[in-house]
Amino acid sequence: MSQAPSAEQQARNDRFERVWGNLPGWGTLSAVNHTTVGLRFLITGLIFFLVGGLLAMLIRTQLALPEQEIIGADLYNQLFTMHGTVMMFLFAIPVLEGAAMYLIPKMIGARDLVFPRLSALGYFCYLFGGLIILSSLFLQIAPDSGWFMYTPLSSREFSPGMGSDFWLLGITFVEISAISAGVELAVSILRSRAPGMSLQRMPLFSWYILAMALMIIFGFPPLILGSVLLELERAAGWVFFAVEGGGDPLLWQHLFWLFGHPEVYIIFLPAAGIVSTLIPVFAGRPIIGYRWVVLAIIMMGFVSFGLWVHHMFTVGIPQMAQAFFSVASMLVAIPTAIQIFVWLATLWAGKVRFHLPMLWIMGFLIVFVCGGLTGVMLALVPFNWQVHDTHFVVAHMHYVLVGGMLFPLVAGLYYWLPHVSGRMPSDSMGRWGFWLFFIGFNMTFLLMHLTGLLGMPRRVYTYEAGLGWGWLNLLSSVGGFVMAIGVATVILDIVLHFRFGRKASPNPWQADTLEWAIPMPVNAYNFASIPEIRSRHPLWDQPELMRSIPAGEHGLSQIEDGRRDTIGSDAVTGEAREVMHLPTNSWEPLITAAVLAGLCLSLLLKTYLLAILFAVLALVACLRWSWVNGLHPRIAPRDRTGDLPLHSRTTDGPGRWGMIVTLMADGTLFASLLFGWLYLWPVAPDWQMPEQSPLSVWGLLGSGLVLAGALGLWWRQVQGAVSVGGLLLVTVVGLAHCVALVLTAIEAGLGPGDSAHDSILAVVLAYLIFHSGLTTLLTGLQALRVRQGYTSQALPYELRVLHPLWGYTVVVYWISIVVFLALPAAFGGGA
Amino acid sequence: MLGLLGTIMLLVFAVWFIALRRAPAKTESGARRAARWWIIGGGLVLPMTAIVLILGFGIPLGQRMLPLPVSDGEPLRINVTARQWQWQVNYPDSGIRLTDEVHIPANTPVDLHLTSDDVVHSFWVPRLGGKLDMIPGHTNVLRLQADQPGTYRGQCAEFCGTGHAHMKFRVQVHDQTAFQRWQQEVRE
Amino acid sequence: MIRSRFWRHPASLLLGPVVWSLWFVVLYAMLSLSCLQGWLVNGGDHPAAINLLLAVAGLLVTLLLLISAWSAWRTPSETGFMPRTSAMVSACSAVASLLLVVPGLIMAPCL
Ligand SMILES: [Cu+2]
Repeated sequence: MSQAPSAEQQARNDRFERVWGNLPGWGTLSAVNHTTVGLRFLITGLIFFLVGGLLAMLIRTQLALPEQEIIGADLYNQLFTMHGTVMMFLFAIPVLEGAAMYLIPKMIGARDLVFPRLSALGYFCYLFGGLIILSSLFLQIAPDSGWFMYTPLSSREFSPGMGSDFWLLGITFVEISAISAGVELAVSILRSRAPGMSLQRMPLFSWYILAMALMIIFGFPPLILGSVLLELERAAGWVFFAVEGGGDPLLWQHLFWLFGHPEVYIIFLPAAGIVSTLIPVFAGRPIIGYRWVVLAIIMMGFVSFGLWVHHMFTVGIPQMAQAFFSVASMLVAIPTAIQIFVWLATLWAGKVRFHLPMLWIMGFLIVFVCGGLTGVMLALVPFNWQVHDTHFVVAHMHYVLVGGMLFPLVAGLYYWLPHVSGRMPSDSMGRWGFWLFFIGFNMTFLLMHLTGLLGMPRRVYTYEAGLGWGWLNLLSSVGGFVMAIGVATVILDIVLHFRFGRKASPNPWQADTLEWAIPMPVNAYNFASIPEIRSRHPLWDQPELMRSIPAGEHGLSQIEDGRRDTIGSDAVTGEAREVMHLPTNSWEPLITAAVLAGLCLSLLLKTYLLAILFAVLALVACLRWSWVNGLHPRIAPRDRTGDLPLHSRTTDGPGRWGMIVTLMADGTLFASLLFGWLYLWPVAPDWQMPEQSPLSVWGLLGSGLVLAGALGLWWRQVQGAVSVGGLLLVTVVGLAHCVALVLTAIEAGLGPGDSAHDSILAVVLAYLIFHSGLTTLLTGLQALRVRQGYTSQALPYELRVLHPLWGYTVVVYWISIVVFLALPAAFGGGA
Repeated sequence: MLGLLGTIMLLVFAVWFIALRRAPAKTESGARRAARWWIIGGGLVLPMTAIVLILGFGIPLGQRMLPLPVSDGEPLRINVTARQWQWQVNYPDSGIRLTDEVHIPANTPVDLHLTSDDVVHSFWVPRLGGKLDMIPGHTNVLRLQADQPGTYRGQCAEFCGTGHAHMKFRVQVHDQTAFQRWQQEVRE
Repeated sequence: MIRSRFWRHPASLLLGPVVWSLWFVVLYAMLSLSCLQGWLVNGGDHPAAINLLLAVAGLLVTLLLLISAWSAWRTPSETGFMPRTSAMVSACSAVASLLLVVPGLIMAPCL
């Protein structure tokens, strides 16, 4: 095929580049384009990886010889806490999100993610949050109670400094980016695939990322709730985890591991997705057992939520209950084995080309299989009792995480490098990097299994001589430095290749997925025209796409109104349903993230007046963001003449899907709160259930009925008769409900400083008030928008977005009444 | 168990290696048939067999470590309370109190009632048995039985702050008569 | 007809694992509550009524999942992708539920 585009094609590309490109200079901070944001995530993540690696080097230096005092206990505790925190929260998850953000639209034939500004917001929250957490290290007040932050060690009494606050607030801030990436990726995969790409034609990578996104949605809220509760306990003296007053430290462990175990699979799934993408390409044939892989992904996604207790086998849970979790932990071996043998079968049947990325895939296989097998051993309760919290677990965990995530990530990095740079990586230097890393890694961690079996516990800053641990630790440390040289080689290789790499030919690996139909190096708009997909392997079965896509022979090849657009499609069949207008460069994400960073900092410094101010500002920033939508003059779509409607003229657009996915995360948060209540009630040693609930039954029921009335009125608006008056009426009734709820809350006179019972009720009330208030406020804004003509009967898109929120608010209200009022009344106090 | 898992590991590596070197399948249907065997055999049968074997071996082993009722009499009870960073040991039957050391008779089941005064700690004597967490507000019971008299190292296995690395203790195992003698001496 | 439409929809992929997860939660909650409250456990250091109850319930869940796998497998569809995959997922969930019954058969509930 010819490389030189025709003049007409060049002119079109220039037009596209003008519409889709970032602003020059500082304006680049307003970029929302998924290619830019994805790469920013990747680069920032890699920098945090270097920071985390540096911390690991310090740890290995301290442990190299027995009874060293290079680093004291206090600093060492900060180091290992920050090493875990940085690697998990600031490297592994964001980097994989970034890779997914970069790749997903390109693989499914879209021009951008469906909520581009949300990805930019996520990035800035991640960046600012990461910097806040990291700053604590330079101020020498870093968190030092472990990345798992067990209470009571992390609570105010035993960690009076600011370290724990940095962790709790900073991580929660960073998690905004995880949740927003989860929502965005899930909706994009479901709703913006190229026409004809039905679910069963999606590249496997999309299945993996879809599973990861949904797991983030269900996995992160327990930790967010836990962090908020612990921060409330630390800052306001409420009771959730302290035994006196009716809390229980084990509640923290449950919430943390409810997040913590799925998190391992959140990291593993996208990495396995990279493996499943690369292996068929290098075997030169389609993957054998596509359906088996889908099955394995689904089973893994679910079973991984049933394992959290295996981190808690030593806390004294009854044996039989432990056995259930032990079985579940071993069950995960089945989907893992299915994937490994699908990859094997594909290589078996194909003709393998052995390029650099395949080397890293082989490294992945060896290291990960070892890690998986030690994982099966750890799932066995009696063995676990012996090695839990020893260096054996450290070794296992690094085999699984480095093997299961870092090796595939580097393989993917090499594989997609030409896509970004248009140049090929060097083979020889890449091989050096691999072997140094691989040998260093195994030297460090293979030996560490033995150190653990010999009884060396984790998280000790030093150890006595003469226990037989010395030589093992020394070799581990040496291996650590070999590994570091390997990392440096790989980075050097990648940096040099941008300058010296030889030019890549189109589709250099002869891959089957759509991203390689984009001319290299990558452009801002991906596809000059969006093709109809007729196969699971578009570039193998429709090779003419390499030419026809840039030539503009498919859909949406003209820019209309100078606006960014892509095709929205049916979630199941992939039929084209609408044209989605996407927002262009915007400062709103940066402003909102900066205000949120201000909120985070003022909470850290305990300047609560300032915090309230920032919270209000954040609300204003979000509402302003939402204001410029629909028929607002700055974004108003003109009617299209084509056969597809604009997404804002439909009733089931991406906004509604985004709302539903967000509410799934919100619902998980609420469910975690219910879990906290139902857990503490029977389990906490000092739990006090008052004879009669301090909440007024009549107040809550009355307020709830008013809320139900508001829902009824709202329903009539959505059903058709949209009017300013009608919406205002809904707002007023909603407001009445809020006032009644607030009054009931005040009248209850809760003492959250004294009892866990009152603390949880206070949190629930705050949750309900927040939701009722938000729903009412947004309805009021809708009334204004109808008056301005931004929404209307003919354009009910936004009302449809708000609709699920109304339903949700009412449902959680009534569930709360049942669980927090009716249940205690039925089963009485003193239980 | 180690042998079983090690064999599985080596087999998987070997097959992968062959798969990398092997000439491609001649026909698509042949490739699919072979693949079905690989996936069902390696992906389903192999892990399920391994799970059943490991559970069949592991669950009874776990049963033996439980504080089950003893056939003759009561096991010796010792209360251990951890705090940053020491161990308070208390024999409720004889009123003996110790710090950072535990004395137990050999060949006799001992029930350690573990709890904590401040943060979470974990009681662990590597050569005598598994570890059990000591959690404020909860009491966990660990059954130990030492076969040989001697001195055993014990240490805290759950990270508990600055002094964690030095939170150690000693378990002294006496034979029956020596243990009686020790109790006498201490009480006087 | 409703049945075959369901099995052709991707939501059916989630049926088996959702049932399995709910069963897992119920299993853990029932066992923990019984031990805390002393219901059906008879001292708790020997297999007791609760073991039998959980085992029977577990077998019922397994049976239910097997039936749904069978039903999905027989659903005709153009490519067979959704019904067949759903059937496989349901069957896997059935196996997972069955394995969860095993410890309940031999172990004491509350030690
Ligand atoms: Cu300790």
